[in-house]
Amino acid sequence: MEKCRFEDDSFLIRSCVERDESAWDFFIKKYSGLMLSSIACRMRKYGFYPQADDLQEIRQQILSVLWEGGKLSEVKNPSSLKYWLSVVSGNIAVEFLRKRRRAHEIAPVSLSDIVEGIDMSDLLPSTAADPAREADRTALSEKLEDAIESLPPNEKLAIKLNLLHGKKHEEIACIMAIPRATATSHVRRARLKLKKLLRDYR
Amino acid sequence: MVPKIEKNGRHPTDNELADFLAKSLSGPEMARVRAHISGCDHCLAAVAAAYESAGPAERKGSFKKWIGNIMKKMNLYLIMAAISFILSFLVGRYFIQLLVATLLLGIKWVVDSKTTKMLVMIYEAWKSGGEREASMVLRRMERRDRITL
Repeated sequence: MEKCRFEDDSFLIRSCVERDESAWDFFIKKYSGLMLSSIACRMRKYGFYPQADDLQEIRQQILSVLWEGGKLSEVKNPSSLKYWLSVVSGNIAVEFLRKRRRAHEIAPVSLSDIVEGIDMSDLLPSTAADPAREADRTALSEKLEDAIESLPPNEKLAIKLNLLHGKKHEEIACIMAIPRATATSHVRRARLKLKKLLRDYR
Repeated sequence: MVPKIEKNGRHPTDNELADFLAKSLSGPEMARVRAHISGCDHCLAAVAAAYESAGPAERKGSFKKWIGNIMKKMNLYLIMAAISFILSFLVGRYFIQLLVATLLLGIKWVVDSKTTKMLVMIYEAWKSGGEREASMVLRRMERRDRITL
């Protein structure tokens, strides 16, 4: 019963900022799972698959930044706490990667890294050369990235979420806060344009 | 986190990204973040990862997903091979036929597995382009496969 008063995030944050230890314990219990999945998710976006001990180490870092570093006081909007926490956890995970590896190696996975895993059958010109050739594929992924960069922002974002992050139209609509039909038309228009651009390149 | 200012303006703060995902920014602010993440892969990765780990739970198609996950984990051919192996004892009349089916399905399972595919890919590359090509394929696999710390 005593714990229930912390169910409300704004009260929970306020109590934590005021150094209430029982609030902090509740916070850790409530959000540890989210932190771990955020770390893993964000690292995957950079092409890394963390082991359990790395996950725990990063989680410890996050906890100390939030509590000892007083980062929790930066939360502006308690209703978006879970997203804030996820973004912050991800940032700390990327920092962790940067310290482990040389910084320039740490970059988000780009289209050229995953170009084979994407279904681009409708984008490629029918005269495409043998797709098994490495050189062709590298050239193609470069062209694809150039073509994507030339799209207008909304279409670019929609197609990146679609191809790079594997998001369905409904999820794209949810992330971009636009109607589903609009998201679909963004993706479709972007695909048509890419198809045309890639054809012109050849 | 990434200090340099990019061509599409300053990076949104953690609070702005969170409010963007919670849809609690004002209209122009939403548009600004949208424009920024369309061109900044770091912030886009942050948004996509936060959406995946903290976003709304999937409502529809969860059963389909569940079945799909099971099928991904357990290989279809392996299951079929096991079934026909068991059947070969239960249905005495078709003992040999079912054993042959088990063998064929087993071979299909081995050939279909990821390791075998990888070996074939490397061999093909080596045959067509020598060592350079083969090492390229290997490097690509390394990158795509799990890069652990």
